[in-house]
Amino acid sequence: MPGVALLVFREVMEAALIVSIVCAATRGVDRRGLYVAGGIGLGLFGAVLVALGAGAIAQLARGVGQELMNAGVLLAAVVMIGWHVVWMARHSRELAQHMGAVGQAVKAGSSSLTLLLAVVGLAVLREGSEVVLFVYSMAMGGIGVASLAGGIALGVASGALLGYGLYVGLLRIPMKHFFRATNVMLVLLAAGLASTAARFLVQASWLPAWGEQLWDSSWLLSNGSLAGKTLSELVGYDASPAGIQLVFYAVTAIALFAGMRWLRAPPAPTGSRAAPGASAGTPQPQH
Amino acid sequence: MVVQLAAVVTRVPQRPGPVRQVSFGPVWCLCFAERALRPRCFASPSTKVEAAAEIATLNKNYYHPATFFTWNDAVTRLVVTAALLLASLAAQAADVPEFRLVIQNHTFQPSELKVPSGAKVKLLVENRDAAPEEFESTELGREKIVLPNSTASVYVGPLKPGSYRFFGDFHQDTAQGRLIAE
Repeated sequence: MPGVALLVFREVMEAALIVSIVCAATRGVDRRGLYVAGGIGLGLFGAVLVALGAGAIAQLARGVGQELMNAGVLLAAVVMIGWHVVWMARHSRELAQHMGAVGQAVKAGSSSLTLLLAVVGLAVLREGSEVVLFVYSMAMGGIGVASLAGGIALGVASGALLGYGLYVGLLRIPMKHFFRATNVMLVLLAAGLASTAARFLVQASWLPAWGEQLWDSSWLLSNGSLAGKTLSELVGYDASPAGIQLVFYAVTAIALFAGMRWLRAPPAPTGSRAAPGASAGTPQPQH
Repeated sequence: MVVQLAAVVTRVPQRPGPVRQVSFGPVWCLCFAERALRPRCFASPSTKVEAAAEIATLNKNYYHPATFFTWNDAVTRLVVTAALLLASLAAQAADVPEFRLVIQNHTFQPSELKVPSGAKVKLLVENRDAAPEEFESTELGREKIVLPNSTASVYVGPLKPGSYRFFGDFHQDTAQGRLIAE
């Protein structure tokens, strides 16, 4: 049971960290709970499908279908996070000024919310399919039902708790800096996912490594440790990365930060821009 | 052959210069002669008036992306690039030495595998158990599901000389091994 709980915990934690950052980033947005729950549900459904189709996926692309699928899922999530942070950069001012009564912004934001739903779904799908195969493997090994169920419950609960802890921690950030902070976290998350995608493409021999093991900092913080895993998920830490991973990381981070900076909405002129926000709270007679 | 293909891929698309209407006759003849060969991206002129209209449109749209980007061109380029990439991958894959690992009763055989350092190698991990396994190494940064009674390939390296731990993620208490690069 401890073995089951540990593996389930590790996989759930990786997805839970992403979900909690997404939850924090969509703070104050209408119906976001529905979207996040929908993302988790779709992700679980997809995880079962992927696990069932694992044999077919393994055959694809001369035996590297699994790597390509992982890389594809990761890169899709990167694109969606990128789209969201750029959108947020354009609208964060209104969101911060009129929390709770964002009217138009929320309407426009629901398209971005759909993207984040997909990010949650993809994260759950990727980790979930591994859990499904692991549980299947354990069941084949003749582990008791009670032991298996107990391990899964313990793993899911502790992983979710860790994600909730991060969420609560993020909510303590002052409102003034809140969306800037969550955006930075999303960018680092996306950069880390891009770096992992590069690793899978190197593993599939689809990309050159441009230097395997550029350095080795596993004496300080190894990939296998809990802290290493957490940092790897949050900011893309890798104890001995390949050169191309750094390239993917840097290109993603620079592209998203530049996108946020250059596509930011121009500062609102005082007076004229205040009207729509005010009218959202107290409707004024029109003629 | 490869050099020619590479030239096709790397060729910078030339933007056509402005069409001048100095010698109207030859231009019209050219347009007419090209009718059969030309891709259908522009309407083929059949009269002098139509040719003149086409030239006027070309000049007007001089800075429009369509004058130096066509889907035909882009697709050709993409196909040739993909073919080249696949060819180079195939050549690369053929040169990589292969090493075999067997998973049986949730243990690795051999539990110590020697591979050359400084070169890319391909590990063939065969799972003879009835349960799925995940070949994983945090030190190598590799993870791959190996389904029951099947073989999965994992590319590793070029590695620095040393010892790298790997394990079966689903049965960590028994499935342990080391890759020795020397």
